[in-house]
Amino acid sequence: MTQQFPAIIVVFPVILSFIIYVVGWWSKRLCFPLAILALSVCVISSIGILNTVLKHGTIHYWLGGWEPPWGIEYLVDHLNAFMLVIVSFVSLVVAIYSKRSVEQELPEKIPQFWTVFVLLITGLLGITITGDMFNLYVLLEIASLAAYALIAMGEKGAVFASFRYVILGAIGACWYLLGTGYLYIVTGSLNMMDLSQLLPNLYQSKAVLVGFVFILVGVAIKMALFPLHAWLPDAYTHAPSAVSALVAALMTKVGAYVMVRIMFTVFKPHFSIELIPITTILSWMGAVAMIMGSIFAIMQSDLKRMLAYSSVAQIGYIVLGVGLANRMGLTGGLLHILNHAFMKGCLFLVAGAIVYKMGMRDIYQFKDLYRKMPYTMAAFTIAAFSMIGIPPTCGFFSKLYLILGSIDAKQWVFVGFILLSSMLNVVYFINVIRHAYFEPPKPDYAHNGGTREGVVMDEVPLSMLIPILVMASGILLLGIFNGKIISTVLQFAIPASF
Amino acid sequence: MVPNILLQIILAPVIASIFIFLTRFKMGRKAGWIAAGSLLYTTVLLCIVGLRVYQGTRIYEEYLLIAPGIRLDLLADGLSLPVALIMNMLCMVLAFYSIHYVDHRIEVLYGEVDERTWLSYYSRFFYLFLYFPVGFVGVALVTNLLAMYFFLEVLTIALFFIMAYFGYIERVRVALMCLVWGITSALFFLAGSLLIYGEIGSFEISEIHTLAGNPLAFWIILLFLLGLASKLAIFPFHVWMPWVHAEHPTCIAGLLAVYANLAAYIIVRVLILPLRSDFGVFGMPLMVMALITMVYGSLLTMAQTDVKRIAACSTISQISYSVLGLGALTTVSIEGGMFFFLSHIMGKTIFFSTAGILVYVTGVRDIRQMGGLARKMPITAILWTLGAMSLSGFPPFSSFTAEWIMFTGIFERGIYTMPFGLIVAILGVSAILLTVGYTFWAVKRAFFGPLNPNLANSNHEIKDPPLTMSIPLLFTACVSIILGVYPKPIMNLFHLVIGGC
Repeated sequence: MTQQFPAIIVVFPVILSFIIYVVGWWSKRLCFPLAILALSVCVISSIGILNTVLKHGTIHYWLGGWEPPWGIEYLVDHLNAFMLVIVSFVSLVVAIYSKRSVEQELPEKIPQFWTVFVLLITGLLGITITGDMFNLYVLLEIASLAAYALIAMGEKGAVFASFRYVILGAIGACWYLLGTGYLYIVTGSLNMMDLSQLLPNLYQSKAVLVGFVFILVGVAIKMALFPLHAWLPDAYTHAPSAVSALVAALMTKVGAYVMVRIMFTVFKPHFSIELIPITTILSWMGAVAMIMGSIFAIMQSDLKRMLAYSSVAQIGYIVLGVGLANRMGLTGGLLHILNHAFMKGCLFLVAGAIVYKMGMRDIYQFKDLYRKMPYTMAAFTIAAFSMIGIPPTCGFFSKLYLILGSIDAKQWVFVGFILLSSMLNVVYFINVIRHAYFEPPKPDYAHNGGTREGVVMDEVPLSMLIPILVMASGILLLGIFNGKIISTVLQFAIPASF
Repeated sequence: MVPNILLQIILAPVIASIFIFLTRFKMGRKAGWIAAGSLLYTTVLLCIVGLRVYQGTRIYEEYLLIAPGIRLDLLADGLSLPVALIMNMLCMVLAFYSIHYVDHRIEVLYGEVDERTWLSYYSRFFYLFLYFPVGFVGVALVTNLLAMYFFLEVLTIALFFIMAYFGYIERVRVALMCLVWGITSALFFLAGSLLIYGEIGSFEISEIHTLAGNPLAFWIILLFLLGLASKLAIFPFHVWMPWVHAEHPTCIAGLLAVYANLAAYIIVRVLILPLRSDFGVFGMPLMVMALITMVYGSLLTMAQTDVKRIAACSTISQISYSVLGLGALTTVSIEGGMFFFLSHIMGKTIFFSTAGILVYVTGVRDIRQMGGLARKMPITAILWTLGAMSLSGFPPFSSFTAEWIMFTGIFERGIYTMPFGLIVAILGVSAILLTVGYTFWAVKRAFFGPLNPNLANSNHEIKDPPLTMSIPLLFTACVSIILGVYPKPIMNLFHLVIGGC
């Protein structure tokens, strides 16, 4: 059983997603439990996989017993195992939350929603676990198509946003596929391990270089790296609340994982760092994304749109970490993948909860929100502090490692960028907190009497509140135990040459 | 002995705060007593630590908590311990004081509210309040720049929320302003720390001395000073201070003085002790800025008619005394400066809190509408006079002793740097006169003369406040007098660290 986990984690949800659709014809109520079943199995298998990797090292799983490089190999090392746990855990939490939210927002489409939802998770898990370039493309498309469908289910404007995403996403996928094709032409192999052995002799080849760049551009579109982020704000804003939380927390992060995988496993670090100045370009793009994303976020009055732009900025942090290409910087980047999945997941869940209860997202109408939904807003505050980077929340530590990485790389300018971007984060998050917590000042001094208008506490149902609180406490726990995470998992996920 | 005593001192208020939060609807009425009780406990622990440190042991506790390479170690030595002890004691005093004050504040701010809302506001004050002692003691005890940054942020955030919930009219706007100043100055601090890390590869304060003589040391000190000067509200970085002091609830006023003056401790700990020779360049400019701030702050105070602002503006001027001492950079003046820091925060707590009592009892803030209160409120009048004496440095209060010691050091330096240093020293001593002026003039205006007819006719009953408000302040005055008459223990403790450098 334990040896089959890498297959189960992909095959089981695929099968269940079709079963959900069929079952949905005669019972809508069964869809949710089935989806939860699928995701719980994923969580258990991912933890099992992580455990095996920690004990016995890298897992090589040959799908159907076909030997690589001809067969598809699932290759799990510390990096994938870490990502698998994030993806499966966050998606389970979001799924539990989604039940009520979907019943309210999409009462007509419950079976379809859960089918596509599980399919999306399958795609994301598959991208993460596979060790084959073409298989990765297939799963990337599965995940993207599922995401297009989910986003299109949203409010007015979602169809257009989704169509825009379809076009840009398809372009990104094409770039990736073209790049993979170039590598296949040159080497005749699609297996990542095999490629990493074959490629070093061909590093001077123009075809390899072009393939590498194509792949990176494709991935950059998928992960919405500034200035390729145009699809993201609309898609996140108009999607159903549950989908926003899922897509914002996971889609772009998996893209970041693919980038790390291509740059440091398929290609040797010394190719990505020394032979072409790609890391310098990436760090600068990341730095610009950090600033521009935050500035755009400040300009928004719609909470979800603000969070979407803030995602653009956060992708910048991760890419900066990758671009720094040293031990501290990459640690910060990888840790930020984890942290950001929790922070942005939590924030979007809160945004969804506010929409669920109040039916609005305008920050300037948040008066007395804290008194209506104290637990939700407390979770929001924790996540916001983490985004700003206030210790002991986890956001502080990933930024800290990024700063230390910049110092190690002697790139002081990035330290300035990170600090500046944190200040910009303060601006837009404190703005929300101010409107939600404190009422406009009134002269209080004269005992002008009168009672405050009564505000009754009106929280979201428990099935939505608990996921929010789980994410918020996760933010604190990740912050406190970040040293443990790094020393047991992440330090092995970083290329040995760093 | 008590295990992990220093960690306990930092964690006990946190635990109490979580406890108050969780039981706020059941035990909300007792929240103040729980908070004060936990601070009483930590004060006792600090006294125990104090005895051990006085016998010459440094207490050092290691915790590899934060992340690889960044340690949360705690150190109690002759410098950090007295600072932590006095600050914690003042937090305790103000926790007792707040028990009645916050009740009154909620009524004024939010009017008649139902029981549940009242409990949630009342307990909220105390679970936020408890992060002040955590931050203060944390900053004093940590050995690592990043951990120090962390505790500075804790203070800033606690201050933001307390201000925005319980402050006066413009509270939200001023809280925001205070937050921006706080975070900006903390970022300067962080930038300095990162430069240090870039040079020596460590955040430990004990390693900073390896930086001595490095050309980068100048810039590092400059970054730190920029950050800390805005915390200290030294002219021209004082903009936030009168605003904040005018709008915050009076029960944390004393803590604000500590919040600002704490930066003096950081300057000594992080900059002066390890990098004394590199710091020399900044000595004289710092003294001049301090002198300007002293005079400016005193004149500002005289112009105020609002009792809260009187106390507020005097803080600007008082903090500069300790900066003057630090700037002189002689061992005696630094020790005196640190001692004055402690004396000032004790005096300011008494003075400020008494101003709070006046507002609490009479319901007016304008000192021109007071007068003749001494007959109705004798204990308050005594307290205000004690506070005034303590601030202006009358014997037997500790600030007298502190000023004496400090100015000995400043003149010692002044004689070496004739004539400029001597002029600064003499002007500094003369500035004390201004303090005497504004504190005692306020005594006359508020407490003596005929009873103001407005007050006599108002529906407030004018009498001394409840005992939980006055006794803690009298206790503080006693501590101040004891330290003034017998400063040896605290000076010996300081000398263990500062003198050895």
